[in-house]
Amino acid sequence: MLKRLLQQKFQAYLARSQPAQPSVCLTQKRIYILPSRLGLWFALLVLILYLLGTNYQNNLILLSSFMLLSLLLLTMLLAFYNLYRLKLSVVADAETFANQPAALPLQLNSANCQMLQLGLQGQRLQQLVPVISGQLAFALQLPLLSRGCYELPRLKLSSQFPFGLFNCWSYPALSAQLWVYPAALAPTGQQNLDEDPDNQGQTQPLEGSEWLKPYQAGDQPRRILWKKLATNPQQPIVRQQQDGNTVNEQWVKVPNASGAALELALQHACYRLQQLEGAGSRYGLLLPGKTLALGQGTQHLQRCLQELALC
Amino acid sequence: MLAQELQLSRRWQQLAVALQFSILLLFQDAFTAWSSALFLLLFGWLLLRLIQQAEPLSPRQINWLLAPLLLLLFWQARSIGAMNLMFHILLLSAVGRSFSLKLRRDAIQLLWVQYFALSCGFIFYQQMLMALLIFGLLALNLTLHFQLFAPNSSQLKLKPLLKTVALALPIWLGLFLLFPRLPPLWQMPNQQQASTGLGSELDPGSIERLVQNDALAFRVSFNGPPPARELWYWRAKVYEHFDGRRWQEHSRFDRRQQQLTALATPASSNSQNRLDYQVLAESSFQRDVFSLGLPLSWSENLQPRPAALLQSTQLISQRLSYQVSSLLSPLPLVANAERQLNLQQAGNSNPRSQQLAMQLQQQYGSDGHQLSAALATLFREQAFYYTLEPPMLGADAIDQFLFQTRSGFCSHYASASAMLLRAAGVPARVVGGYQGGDWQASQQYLIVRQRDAHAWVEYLQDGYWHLFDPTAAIAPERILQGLAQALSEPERTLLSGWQPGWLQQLALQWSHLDYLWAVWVLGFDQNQQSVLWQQLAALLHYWPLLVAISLGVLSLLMAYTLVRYRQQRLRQQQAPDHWRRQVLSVLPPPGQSAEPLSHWLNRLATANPGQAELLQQLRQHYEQLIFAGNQQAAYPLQQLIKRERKQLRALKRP
Repeated sequence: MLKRLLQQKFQAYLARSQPAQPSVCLTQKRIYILPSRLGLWFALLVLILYLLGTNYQNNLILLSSFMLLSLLLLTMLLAFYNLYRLKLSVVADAETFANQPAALPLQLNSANCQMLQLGLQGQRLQQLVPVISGQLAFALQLPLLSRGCYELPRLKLSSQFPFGLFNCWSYPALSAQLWVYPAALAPTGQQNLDEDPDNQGQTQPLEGSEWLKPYQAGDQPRRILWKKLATNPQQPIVRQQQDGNTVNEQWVKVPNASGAALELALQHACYRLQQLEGAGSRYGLLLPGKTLALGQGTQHLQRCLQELALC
Repeated sequence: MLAQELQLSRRWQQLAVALQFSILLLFQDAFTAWSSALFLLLFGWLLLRLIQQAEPLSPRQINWLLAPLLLLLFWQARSIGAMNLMFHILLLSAVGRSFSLKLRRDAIQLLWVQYFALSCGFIFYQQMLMALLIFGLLALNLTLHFQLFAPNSSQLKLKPLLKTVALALPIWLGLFLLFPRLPPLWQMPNQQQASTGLGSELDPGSIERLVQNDALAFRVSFNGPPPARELWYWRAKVYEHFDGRRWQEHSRFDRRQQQLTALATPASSNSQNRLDYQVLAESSFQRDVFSLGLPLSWSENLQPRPAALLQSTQLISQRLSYQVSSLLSPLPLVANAERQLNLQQAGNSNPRSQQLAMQLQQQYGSDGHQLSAALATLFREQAFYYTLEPPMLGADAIDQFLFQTRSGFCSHYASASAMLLRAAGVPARVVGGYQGGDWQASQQYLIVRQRDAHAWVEYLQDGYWHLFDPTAAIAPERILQGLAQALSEPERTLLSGWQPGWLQQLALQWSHLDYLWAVWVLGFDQNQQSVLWQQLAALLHYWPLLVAISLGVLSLLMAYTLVRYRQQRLRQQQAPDHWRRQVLSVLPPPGQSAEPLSHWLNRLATANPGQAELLQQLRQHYEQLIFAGNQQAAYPLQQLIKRERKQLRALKRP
């Protein structure tokens, strides 16, 4: 009971004093250090040897006792400096599909850190990083989650590195999102996209191979209509052209449903979005109450999938 | 911890077994033949399993293996002895653990036991080489310990290792020198071992055995110049009970009946004869210690015995260092009972000797000085021989010695003289101890070996015990077979001359090193520690100097960190995107991370016409710094960022 209360207090303290950041450097205030079980046994050994050396008036036993004691004291420093100034940064958000394990790409930075154990606080799943010397790209494995978007929980870093006499640990909080998209599931009996009657009606065949659109960052300069630029220098206009003749424009629709039906629909939509992206089509997403315009590319796919995750 | 779930490497296990094997060797004194053989069998099996890469035994199997062995040990506990039983159990537990090693966490207790067992090795061995060897084994265990918690691939790198050792060494030695020491808290069991040195009885022949032994008995350093060589009679035992053949210690020396007798101080203590010295006695498994003349004061680990002797408060099972302050003058008679005790004779034994004593008494009266001079003349002028291999003596041993064989060793001469003196009415006793020694002129200490063991006589005259050494009276030409055996090993080799000089020099240097080791490492005790503390306290007298030095060191350290910090800052500033990140840190983040900063500042300026001028300024400084390479723009840029931080943060995104 008391333990639980203390733990709650401690968590509140952590949340107050160490809010989530994209990049965390382990400073003095964030590192905790206590003797491990072996450390306590080791201290007992030092005491026993001291008594033995005293009773036999044997300086060599006293010497070995003091040697182990100095080792114990020094290990405290070494264990602390093993974690000190370790820097963790989030590289990107974690993405996965439901029922698939996710990994959060992290960057670890330390001059010399060994035998670092990483995991989410309160979780059994832990990972071991043998050596960090300089910069290390690291994938933090996350537990299986159901569809949605989660904040990254607080991490637990720990190490016993030299001699295991001291436990040195920290609870850094990194600000990162864990996106869990619906699992992709092929709709039964509707293997071919082009024959999908639902989407057939929404296909908008293009008249001609070119059209005009406002300039967007990333458009090729040679496609800018220079003649029009003189009239409106702030808003250049570019010609847009499709490469092939077989241009597909498809809308993926998620019906207004709930419960298992919604999940199934989302899974189908996920599957179709991936198929469309793979086929190089332009596609949009129709959600109940929300529409994502036509587009293509991995960023577009990501946006669509994120909408599905939040649905 | 996950690290503890890693597999133990085979190499690690092999090293651990090697370490345990060396522990077995270290504990040889504590082990009997059958238990050594048992452990050898276990080691053989362990090695076989390691080579075959067999699966580790389960805890259940281990219990079945160890339980009968433990029962066997406890059954034999009486013959093994309590302390040796502990060593057996320690090693058995280590070996048992080795059978079930698989993961790293299995080995943690093993390390603990090995640390303990290795340190216990110092109970048996304190010589420098052995101590270095044991510390080496401790270092091996430390390496195993390190590997247990280190990455698999990691090799010990020299630089961090040296750094660690350099940090640990001052702590270690500082603790050794300054950590408070306690007197023994309780009596510990000692391993059973035969005692060396003089025994509690002196029969003809007991000293001959010692004399052929070159082992070190003790070493002495004097505070001040050493006394004259003829005064080096180190008293260890006094034999007062004579049964016609043997001299024995009287029951007043028995520990159970013994009261702590205060030694009588002589009325006139001549301070010129007073001598302070420090003795370093080798382990003898006895309690007797060695002193000169009349001890006046002694260190706390000693206590007085009757007849002006001293003894250690506990069995000397390891080198013992003690200080004594002695008066080099005849010992005063303590009680009349002592006189009576030393007049006792052994009934009717040795009739011819008693007759001789009567003659001497008629001639000189009961005057000890004259009688002893007469005895010396007798031994010198008649055909008495000095030999290490005296003939066997039957009943009435003294008669046989004085009138038939006439050749003997110091114990023969001493016992015969004491017997004759007693028969002539002079109280006399035989004293056992050591005489002489090798004076090391360059190192200023005295080495006394077992071969210096000697027996002489003390007789009472005018209330004082006077020293009489009858052996010294034998004419040198009548020393038989003496020389070769009477010389120590180094002296013999010196005579034969086949050993190169440098080797001898080396041996001599080694013995000096061993002496330093004994004095400074083994002999460092509470007294020396308190002296050290006093010296440190005396240093406090110079506190302004100390403060100045520490301030100097501190400011040097601070200057060093400051310089390093500056360098680090400079390096950061020279990084290509340092200033970009600096500026961006106070602006709302751009939509696309690849957007040039100037462009983003422009866009922000259009969205926030109120702050356009500020943004313009910022852009100018930035471009000056980055594109024109104008380092002087760094300062105004930094100032601008610092000053306008709040306004910049509040900018509206375009």
